[in-house]
Amino acid sequence: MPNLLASLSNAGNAMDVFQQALNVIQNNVNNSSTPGYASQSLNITSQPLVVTGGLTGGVASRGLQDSRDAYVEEQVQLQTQSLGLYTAQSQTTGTIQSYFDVTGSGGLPAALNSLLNAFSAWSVTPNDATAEQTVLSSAQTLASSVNGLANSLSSTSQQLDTQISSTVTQINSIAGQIQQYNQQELQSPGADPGAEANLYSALDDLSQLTNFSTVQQSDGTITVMLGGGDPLVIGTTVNQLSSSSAVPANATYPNAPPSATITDAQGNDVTAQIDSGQLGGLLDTRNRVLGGMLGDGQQQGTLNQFAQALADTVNQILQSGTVSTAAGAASGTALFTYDGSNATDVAATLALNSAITPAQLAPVDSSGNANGNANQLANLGNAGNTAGSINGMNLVQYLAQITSDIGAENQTATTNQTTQQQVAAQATSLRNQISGVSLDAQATNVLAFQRAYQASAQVLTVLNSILDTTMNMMTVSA
Amino acid sequence: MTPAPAVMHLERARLGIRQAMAGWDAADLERVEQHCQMLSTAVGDLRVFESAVRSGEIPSTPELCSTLLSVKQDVQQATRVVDACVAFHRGLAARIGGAPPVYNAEGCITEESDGLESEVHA
Repeated sequence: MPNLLASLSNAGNAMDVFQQALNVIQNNVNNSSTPGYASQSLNITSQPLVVTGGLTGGVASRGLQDSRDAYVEEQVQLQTQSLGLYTAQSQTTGTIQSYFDVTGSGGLPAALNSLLNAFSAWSVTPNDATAEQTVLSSAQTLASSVNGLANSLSSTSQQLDTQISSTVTQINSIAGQIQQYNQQELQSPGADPGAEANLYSALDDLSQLTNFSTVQQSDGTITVMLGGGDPLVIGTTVNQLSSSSAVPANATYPNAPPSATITDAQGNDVTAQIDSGQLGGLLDTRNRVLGGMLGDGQQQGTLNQFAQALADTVNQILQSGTVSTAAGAASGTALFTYDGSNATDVAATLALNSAITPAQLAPVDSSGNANGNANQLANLGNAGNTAGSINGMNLVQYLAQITSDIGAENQTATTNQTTQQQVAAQATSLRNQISGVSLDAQATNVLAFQRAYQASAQVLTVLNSILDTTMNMMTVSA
Repeated sequence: MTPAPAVMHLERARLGIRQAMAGWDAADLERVEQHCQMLSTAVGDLRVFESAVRSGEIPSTPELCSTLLSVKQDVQQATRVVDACVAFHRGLAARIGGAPPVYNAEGCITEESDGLESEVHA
């Protein structure tokens, strides 16, 4: 009789275990669309059977096991972080690029051309009042155009500060969710598929915003660290981030526009650790791209350099000459003014000299040539002209370089974004493919896939090579 | 070979590469293999175009240069996507525990790289 009861008991236990397994399967089906959910399986082990020793065999449940793999999760997060970076870069540099007229028929390039044309017309008729007035009005238009560009860039900078602040708030909010998971894990350790799904969904969201890495601790909690290792969440502690704007203490240009800075709860500057995700992209455009144009603590900024070189060169030429060839004629007057006390504010303060009148323009150079100065000014944009040159480029070339640089920034970011969309989507797709399947069982598949990918990679190498040869023959430069 | 058909081969190659990438699904082995076949067809088309350029039958025009640049960009993009996949699976193979595949100087898996298979069959 005892044996019969044991058998019945075994059968009952087994039915319980299989019922649990069915529940797990049902739960997998129910959560098939839940973000962050990884399918679970119930570990079932056989019990020892020793007929003569009283061990009656049967099956027992040994807890849940999910199909999540740390390596695969990390790959998806890395690719999502890069997508966040390129998307932010593409959007923000696109906005900046729209301020520049790449055709040269409008905006700042057109205003500079108009002034040079006005100088040219004035050099032909140096005493003509209309030509003089055209020079003044063209100079006014150019100064306004430089101001307008500086203001647009400055306003974009402020908008980016707002976006950075909002992104930091989102990051802190997600860090709070991870902290709650850790609290729950410490209070009731063990696999809770729902809580774990929420955790991984939160990590997916976080990877769109910033770069980080995670470590699962022995107590089951997750530690999240920023790219450089600064902790964001440890156990039940969140190291809240905050954003601000500041000029470094040792700045070469102390009055420069402040750079965006991210600090942790202890006040440590962690800006340099954030180089991916949406926040990384926003910081890159805000500090590197806009800082390069408008200046920051360490640089004057290309737009300010341009404005200062333009004003100084034009003023120096005009002031070195005289208004007429008559003996004792008055010296020339400066055409432009700007705030000389702040090298990083030249573009915003560039203006037509309010004191100048058309008659105060000095077309005569120091050697007494009646249109010597006017000619020099008209030639400022000529190739090889070194007057007012910056880094070996004349004013027209330098402005074209600024325009070209931002165009290249945007093109690179947009191309990267397009590619990364595919790469990130494929990482997610590969994760879904692997989810629910034992990686060991996948080993053979992995090899087959590797060979197939490698074949495609090889054909692409051949395509690249043929294209290079053909482009070389047709003298196409990439 | 007259110039016009050779130019058509370039267009066909461009279309083939774009279709291959549009149909790319890293998680579907059959489609990955189809992708490779489509790219191979594009190689054939590009070779025809290259021969025509080499023999001087095709003059260098801005339109053709622009098309070539566009094809080059498509191929570069495809290369990054496929390379990301190769890297992912190389890491996955290491994760599973098999020896990672051995690549030769041309980037192909060599015959000695049967570590993973050995691991599986062991």
